[in-house]
Amino acid sequence: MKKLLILLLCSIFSISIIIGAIGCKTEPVEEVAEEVEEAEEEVAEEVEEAEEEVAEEVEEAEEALDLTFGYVCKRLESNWFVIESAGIEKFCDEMGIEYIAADAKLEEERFLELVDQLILQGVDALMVVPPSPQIGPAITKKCEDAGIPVMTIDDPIIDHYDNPVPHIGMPTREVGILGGEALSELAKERGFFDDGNVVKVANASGEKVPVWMERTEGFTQGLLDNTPLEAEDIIFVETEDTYIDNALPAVTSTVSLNPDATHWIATGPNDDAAIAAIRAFESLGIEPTNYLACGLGGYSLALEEFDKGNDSFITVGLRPDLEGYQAAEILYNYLVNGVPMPELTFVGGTILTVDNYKELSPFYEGE
Amino acid sequence: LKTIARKNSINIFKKNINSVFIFGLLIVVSIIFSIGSEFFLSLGTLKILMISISTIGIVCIGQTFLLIAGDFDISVGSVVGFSSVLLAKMINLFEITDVWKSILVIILTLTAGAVIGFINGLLVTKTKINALITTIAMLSIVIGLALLISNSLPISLNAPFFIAIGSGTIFGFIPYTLVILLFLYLVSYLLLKRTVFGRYVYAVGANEEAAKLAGIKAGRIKILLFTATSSLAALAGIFLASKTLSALASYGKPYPLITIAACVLGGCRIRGGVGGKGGALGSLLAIIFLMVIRNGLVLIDQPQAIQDILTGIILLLAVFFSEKK
Repeated sequence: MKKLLILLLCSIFSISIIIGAIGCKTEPVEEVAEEVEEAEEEVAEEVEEAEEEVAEEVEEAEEALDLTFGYVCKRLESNWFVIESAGIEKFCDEMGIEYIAADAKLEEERFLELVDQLILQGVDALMVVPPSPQIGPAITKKCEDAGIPVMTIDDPIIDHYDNPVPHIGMPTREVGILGGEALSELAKERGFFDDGNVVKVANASGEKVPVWMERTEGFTQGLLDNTPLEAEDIIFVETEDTYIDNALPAVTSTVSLNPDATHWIATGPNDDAAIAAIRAFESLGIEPTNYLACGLGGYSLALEEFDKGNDSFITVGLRPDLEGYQAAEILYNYLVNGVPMPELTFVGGTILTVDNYKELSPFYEGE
Repeated sequence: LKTIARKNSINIFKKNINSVFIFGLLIVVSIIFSIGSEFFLSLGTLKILMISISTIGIVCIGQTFLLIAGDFDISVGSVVGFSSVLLAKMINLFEITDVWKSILVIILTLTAGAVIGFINGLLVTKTKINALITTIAMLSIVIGLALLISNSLPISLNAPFFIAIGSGTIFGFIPYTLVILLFLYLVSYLLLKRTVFGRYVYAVGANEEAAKLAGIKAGRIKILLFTATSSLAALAGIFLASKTLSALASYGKPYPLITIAACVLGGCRIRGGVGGKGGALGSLLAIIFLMVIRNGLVLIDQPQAIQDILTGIILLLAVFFSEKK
């Protein structure tokens, strides 16, 4: 009985193993094959979809890089804006961006027409230097309707929602401070503040134009913070328009009225006023070793002074080319990399001297 | 009958030869610009063109009447700037947002323009000062007034009524200002070609003394024309301020030159006191032609220098042909 029971159990076990083996070899194999096939199909579909997605993304990226930038300027004939435009063009060339520049010839109506025209020509971003800030809302409305970003260079504007438009330009007071600091350093190097010397500062400027005054205040701050000069050593020379014709007699009178001064420092909100001061010093027989003058701009008048080899003259050279270049860069980063446009970007000046003006001035055109 | 019909057709063609010539030119330059730019033949370009001509075109109407009568007005540009400033100043000063008050301000601005024109007319006809000198002097005075009113600064114009005038469209495409312009041209055409007043204007321009002998009150007609021209310039100033949402004393500065060029190109004569030629249709086509040239050159990416040279050449040719006539 025991043997019979063992035999029965063995038989059941064997049968179950055989059935199991047969089962494993028939139905599950087919199922697995089907599953594998399905899985392969799914993978193939997924790969195909992924490939399509990648292709679309590449296409989109290529389209994104196929950019056109526009620049509408109030007066493109002016040397400043020609150089500013060249800065934009440089960036566009580097990035393979098409670039269109247009001149509004100081006409507001024409300016708005040109904004329309550039939008029509498919620009992806616009840089503007409007002839008057009051047309700002009209410009931004057009850009918003066209769905393109806009940035102002040099002259800021407010948009049609009363918000400031992203702007790049010159920090008025800071460029003055930069000039004041450079003058301070030079004056110390040349021993202006040695014992026995009396140093006076002639700030030739005009109260009529707030920007001039802000620059002049910057010069004053730069000098007072970096030299032993006191506020009473700084003389404000009021000139009608800061140009040479009017600034020259004003500075001449000031210098004549201060015969105790052994050394002079002159500043001007532009190169004209500073060079007028130099002419005044020369006419009164003051040696170049006993004066320093700093202007602002670095245009042809300053370059002529450097060409003469005057090392007592320096100027805060402005960089319209950098302003243009950086404006285009900001717009590019916004469009391609999604970097938000900063509300305000300042491009500071560079101190130009007789030794470096040939390398650093964007206005220098060679010998 | 066939012969009469043919003669009539030839006469109509001869009478409108200038308009036909400009229309032909317009087609030629349009073809050139279409080849040069894919954007030229587009609704966008058409819209820009419509907006461009809707202000300067209005000034051109007055200038056409004056040139036909043998005079012209250099002060129209300054009236454009003055009226824009006056309008914006009043709107901002009284904080006007109401439609009826806005209309009242428009009427006052137009009246101010009319007064300037009336003074021009009086000076030219009563004191016999040359129109060139009179209107140049008036230009200076009016610009000075505009600078005084605006403190030499641009003025913002953010009143909803004027925003609607400047950017409003019919069917989402045709600017309101263009509709008004076309209406004014139609009225001008009918006035010149279909009324006694129109014949008087031509008569005064052709020979003022003969017109006077024939009983036409030439002086009154001229005063009326100067007044209308300045009023139209003021209307253009209102439209311009509405379009740019701002006002500036220097608005309209290039208008005198462009409008006189358009009128001469359109068939008017510029021979100091001798007119009698031209018409509203020719002037309208000519101003469209000049604006097409201006916008087309930008589209085909021509530098400003080329635009200036071409405009100068067109002006010279226009005056040359005017003298030939």
